[in-house]
Amino acid sequence: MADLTHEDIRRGLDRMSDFIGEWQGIPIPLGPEHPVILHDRHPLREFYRSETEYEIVVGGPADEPVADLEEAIGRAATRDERIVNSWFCWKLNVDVLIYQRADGRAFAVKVPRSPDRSMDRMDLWFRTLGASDAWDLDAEYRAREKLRGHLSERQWRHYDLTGSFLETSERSRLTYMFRRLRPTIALTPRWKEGQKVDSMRMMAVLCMHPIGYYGRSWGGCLVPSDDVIAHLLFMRSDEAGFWKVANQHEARAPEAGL
Amino acid sequence: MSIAKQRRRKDRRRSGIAEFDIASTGCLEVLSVGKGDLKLTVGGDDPEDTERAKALITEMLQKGYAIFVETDKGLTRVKRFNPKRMTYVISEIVEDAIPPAKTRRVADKHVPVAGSKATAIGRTSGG
Repeated sequence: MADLTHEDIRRGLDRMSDFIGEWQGIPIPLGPEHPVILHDRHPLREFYRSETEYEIVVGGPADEPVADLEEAIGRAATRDERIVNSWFCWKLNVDVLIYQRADGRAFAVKVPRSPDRSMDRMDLWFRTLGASDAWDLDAEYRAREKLRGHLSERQWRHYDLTGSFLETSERSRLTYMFRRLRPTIALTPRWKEGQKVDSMRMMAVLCMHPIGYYGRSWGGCLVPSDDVIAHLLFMRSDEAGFWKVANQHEARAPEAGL
Repeated sequence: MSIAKQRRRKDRRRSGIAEFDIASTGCLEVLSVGKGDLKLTVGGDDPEDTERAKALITEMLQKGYAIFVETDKGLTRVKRFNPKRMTYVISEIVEDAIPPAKTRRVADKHVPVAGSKATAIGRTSGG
């Protein structure tokens, strides 16, 4: 087992998904460093969740004074504890994690972040690089060919060279910037003062993944271009559904990828 | 065929009772983890293939897959599947140009699986 490469695991799971008729495939586990977070109704959600039972939280610059040793060196959640809520507090520049014990009592842990959150962006970058072990190159090439069939020559040129392209919805007149391994940006030409020529304002950053994604990264379970196809198809055929399903990140949040 | 008989057949078809013989196949592409883009052929002359296709599409929609089918008006998301008629059911905006005012309403439209090109995407949620 120790000699198994990521490619072996990919092939094995691919064969298994064919055998059981799971057409969307089985997500590739990459270990606790890259937890797989699956859709609520995915049959393997609980199985993959057990992998993330021990979560290490390490926060903040080392030279900052911290009141609690736990905050400085990290915290390992035991089997009796689980994170039930978390958010980023802009005022204090900390991540707030709410843990709940088996007896129902909850407590909070504050994890300091770097002032401009640049290290969080760096962390997302590294974890996205790590997630690439899950993706098959041939699958990505096939997805790119499929995507090309949906795009104009100019859009494809933009995507091929920069990893992003623009499309304006005929329905809402919003312009979307679809990006590989980043959430989609929705832009509008409408301002409070009215419509402006050659000027657009960002409305939202929409993050969505079919099947699931790798935690604290921009990578989904599908190969990157398949994620872009999913965003594009949802926008073109069910724009309201796209907004409903997608998670909206604040532009300043590292997850927005801006 | 008498007019009454024709009308009866039309009514049965509308209510989803009438069955159709499938002469050609449809293409259903699935975005897959390991393969990127998995192409499935749905339907065909063989009744076994048709049954398999019915089961496959029904199961996918039950499991929460989103299916997008190409129509003459572009890509549209499939609302339901009619296994008896072997059609995808989509919503379409219809404009009734009845004077004095134009009205728009949403109506169901059946797109035959035979000859169609569709893409299925697994359960999707925000990241």
